[in-house]
Amino acid sequence: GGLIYTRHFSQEHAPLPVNECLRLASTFHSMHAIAGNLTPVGPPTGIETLEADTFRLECYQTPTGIKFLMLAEPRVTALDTVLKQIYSLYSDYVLKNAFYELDMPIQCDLFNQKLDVLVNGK
Amino acid sequence: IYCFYLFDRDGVCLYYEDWNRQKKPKSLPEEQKLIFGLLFSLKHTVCAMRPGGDGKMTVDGLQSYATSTYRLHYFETATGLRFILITNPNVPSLRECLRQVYSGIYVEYITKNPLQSLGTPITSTYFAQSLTKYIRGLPYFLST
Repeated sequence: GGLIYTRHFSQEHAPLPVNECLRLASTFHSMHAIAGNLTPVGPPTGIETLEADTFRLECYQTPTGIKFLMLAEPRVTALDTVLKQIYSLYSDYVLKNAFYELDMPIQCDLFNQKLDVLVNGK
Repeated sequence: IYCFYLFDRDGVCLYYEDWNRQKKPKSLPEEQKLIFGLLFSLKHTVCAMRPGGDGKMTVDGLQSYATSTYRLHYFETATGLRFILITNPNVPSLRECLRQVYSGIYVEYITKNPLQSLGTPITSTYFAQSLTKYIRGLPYFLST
């Protein structure tokens, strides 16, 4: 449930302070699990989307338990394909990086660059 | 549509009903407490995460969330009453319906009822009947 990467893309809004991000990410991790257990039907799965008045949150959970969270404007759709692409960037540039240790904060330049290209191209 | 919850600002579950639910919980009071707690933390987290927001609490923050098996619709009034509907994930936002439940059914049968004291579970049959009628009348009631 620990935060290993955060990136801010919006030009209009100030980024959240790092401690806030850490706290919110851990809280979300627990809520994702609780919400999954509350399901009235079928096997438990966690929160996939969350709609609020000023933003929309999408969460993609990989089979290994890594969660990719993305906050965007409420009108945006198709965030789940973006998250899957980010997952494939993650597996290419982070996991295949020999110097990266699992569960440590991500500091790979190539991952940052490719992420920029992917998001700014949208 | 699976179930409906109504909580007041202190977490007391004033009303609960389910319709098409397959998987019943082991303990209903436990589940109600869990839902209230989850929504409380989720609401705080949403208010803190809002871009450009200053972390202030707002009634309109959280609107709905979805997992792969269900979708939860949330509507909160300024007095702290929380109206919650749990449906299958394909249903679009039912927040307006919850608003209707508040203004058309709750206000009519509960707020205007001198025998109903705040903070106690609702026992009015008028409320139960009109709620069930309204929910069954929604086009999404039986959609799977």
